[in-house]
Amino acid sequence: MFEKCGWDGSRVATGARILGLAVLLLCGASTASAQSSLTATLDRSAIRQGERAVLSLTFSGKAPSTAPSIPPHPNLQFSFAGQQSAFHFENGRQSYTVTFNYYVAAGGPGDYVIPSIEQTVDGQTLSTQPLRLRVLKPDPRAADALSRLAFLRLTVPKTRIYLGEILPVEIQLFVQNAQNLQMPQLKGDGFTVGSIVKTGTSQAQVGQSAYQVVIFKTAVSGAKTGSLTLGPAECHLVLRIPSPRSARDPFGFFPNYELRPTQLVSEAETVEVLPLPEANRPPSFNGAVGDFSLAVNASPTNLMVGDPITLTLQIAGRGALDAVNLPPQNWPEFKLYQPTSKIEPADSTGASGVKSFEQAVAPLNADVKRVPAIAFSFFDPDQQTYRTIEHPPIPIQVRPNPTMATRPSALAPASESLESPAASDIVHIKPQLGAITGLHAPLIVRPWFIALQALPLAVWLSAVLWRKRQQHLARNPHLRRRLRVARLISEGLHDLRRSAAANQPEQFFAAVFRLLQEQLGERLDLPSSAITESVVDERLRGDGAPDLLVRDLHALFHLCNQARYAPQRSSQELMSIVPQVEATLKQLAMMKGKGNGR
Amino acid sequence: MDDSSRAAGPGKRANVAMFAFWLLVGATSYADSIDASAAFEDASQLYERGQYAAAAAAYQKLLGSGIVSASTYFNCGNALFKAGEVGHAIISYRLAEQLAPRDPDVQANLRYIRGLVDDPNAQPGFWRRALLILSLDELALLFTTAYWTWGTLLTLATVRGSPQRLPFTFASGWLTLGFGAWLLTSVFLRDFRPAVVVVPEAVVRYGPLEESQSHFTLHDGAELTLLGTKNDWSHVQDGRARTGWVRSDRLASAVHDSFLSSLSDR
Repeated sequence: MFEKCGWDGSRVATGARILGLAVLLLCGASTASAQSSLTATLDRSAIRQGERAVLSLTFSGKAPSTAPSIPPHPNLQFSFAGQQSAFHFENGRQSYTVTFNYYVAAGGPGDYVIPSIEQTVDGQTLSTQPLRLRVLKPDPRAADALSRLAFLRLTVPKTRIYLGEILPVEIQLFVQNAQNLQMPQLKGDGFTVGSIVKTGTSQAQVGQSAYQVVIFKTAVSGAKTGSLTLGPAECHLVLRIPSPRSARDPFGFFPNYELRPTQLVSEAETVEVLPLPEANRPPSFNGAVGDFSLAVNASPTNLMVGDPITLTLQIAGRGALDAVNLPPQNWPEFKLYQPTSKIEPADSTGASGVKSFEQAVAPLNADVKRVPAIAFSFFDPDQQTYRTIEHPPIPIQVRPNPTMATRPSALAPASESLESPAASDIVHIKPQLGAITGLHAPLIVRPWFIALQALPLAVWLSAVLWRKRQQHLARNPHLRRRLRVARLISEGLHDLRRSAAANQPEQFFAAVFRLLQEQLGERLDLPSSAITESVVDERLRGDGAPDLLVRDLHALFHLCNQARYAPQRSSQELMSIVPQVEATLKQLAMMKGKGNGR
Repeated sequence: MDDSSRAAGPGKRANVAMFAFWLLVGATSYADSIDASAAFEDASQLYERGQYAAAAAAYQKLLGSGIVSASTYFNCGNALFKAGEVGHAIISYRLAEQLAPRDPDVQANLRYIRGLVDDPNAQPGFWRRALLILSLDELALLFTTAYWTWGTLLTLATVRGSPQRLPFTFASGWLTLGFGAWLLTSVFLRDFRPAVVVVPEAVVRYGPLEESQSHFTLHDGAELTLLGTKNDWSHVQDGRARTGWVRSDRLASAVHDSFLSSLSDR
């Protein structure tokens, strides 16, 4: 083919090979340049005896050519389930991962730890973090599960917690074929239940049936002590129940399943909520339960008396962060301002994260040398003891502020205070009643006040519109004339009726003549004084005016001429002419004019 | 009597009737104000005699009958403080502050009482105090004046087709924007959901249940921000950004009706 185009086919092929090799080398180089890593994950953190979880070992970058072997475990059995590989392109970078999957089954119920797994790849040793797996007793409804298409399971890692401790809860939905799945609801009288989020799906085998497992997670904490019931969890969905193919539908045009809306209910769990111990409770404890770390930063550290230092405290870890409060501060040498706080959750359930406090503090005198140590106490439910972590004092340099009168330092020898003595009592009562204001809502919420504010705007907009119209008229003299003539005719018709009623034929016909001149002059764009009867034939007829109109105009002009010689007419006669004049003028006004003011 | 006199008769009578009507209205108002002043005096005399609880009840009665003034709230606050009701006193002073934001006596007494309260109250900073130095109505009137002036000058300029008194137009425009921004900021800064502890001790818990663990304890006079309510419980935040739940009957709100209701219930 290339020869037909005049190209040397062999050279093209060689070039293509070189190009392909370069691409491969580039891919390999970019892949090789990526750092290798190994992560281990379990599809579920809790299973029933008889079920299997899936352990996935994911190699990123370099991977072994064969599946790694899992170190034997006395209570867990591992079997290889397959491998998969994938390329990922993210932010212009390419990565390659290989995942080896293993089924994990347990011999009996209990809490197990899958230890760290090590694998050496190309001289580099990669290792995973240990994983926890909880194996529960067999589901007593397991026999029914074979015939059930879906069921719901509530899993808690432990059933004894302390008041205020965060308890992660997992809701597992086992389903074969369903649709319109709604988020599950979890009942918990005496518990504070966090938001429920869907975290993933996996496959599971229960007996001879395969299920898709949808996993939801949330975090709860006990609001009161005692033996409390958590759950049950409820979930609404629509099951697709297979039905035998109908004889009337041998070719399967219609779906062979029926839809059945179903509400699944899990079992409830009894959780013992223990009170926090009274013994050894630190005085600085103010309610935090969990496992936390403390980081403190103060800036600036070189300042003048009265200048604010921004103190940032970050309390990070696992626990109910909204119950974490700023450690108490009794700092007489500082002026404390109101703190602000914000929470950044580390997971979707909010069971862990970072709570940051920001507070401004200002030294009150130049003798202050440090921001005092900050101690944060909390109850660690895993260790079942109170812990206090302390951040050491932060040295600062405080310079005198010449613009401020400093407060006497507590360290300085007692001396007379430069400030005026503090008030020793309240100011006495007022002798006069004063202005009685009564109670009223502020002006800004009263409807009449709000409506009143629209008035200046409305007036100004009206003025703008008026101005625009004036400018438009100023630019269009024909339009001005047309409006003026319309006004003249309206007034003129009134004059006609008045003249007719007063039996004043001279004024009557003079007005008729004048109105005809004005309207004809405006339509023909001629001076009104130059309009005579001859214009009707010379200009109007030629412009395509209807014959009827021309005839009416001639008739009116004729009447006006006649009136010069025979001015005697009765009032009724004059009044009978007015409609004719009005109709003729109206017809004239509707004609297409010569000027721009059409 | 001639025709002109007869014609003037009905008009004259109407004028006299109108004058009598307004005289009656004025007299009634004057009488009401005398009654109010007398009641105020009586309450003040009770205070001077050291009968603080009775004085507080008398001021409460005045406020309940609609005789609302900054002085009434202020004196009521003094009487309540002297009677040992710090929380109610603070509410009364805050209501006085709403009517007279620049009254130095109100500020002084609030400062003094807040210094006595054990719990950290939210002390307004300099800028907050500066922005709240005018009441909402005062700001609204200033804004309206500037806005109407600006609107009038703009309308005149539009009608005449040329800018009229341009510096004044610009100045009134900027004043309108400035007062408008100040008004909006003032609306946001004012704590419209203030609550004060009015019992000697109020336990704040983690949850809205009596069985919930106690979080911290507040004392009479502690000023809080109300975040929400659930049944008989209120979700509150104190001056140290601590949040929790406290029984609603331990609190009173710095709103006139709620304040009077709380005084009656105690």
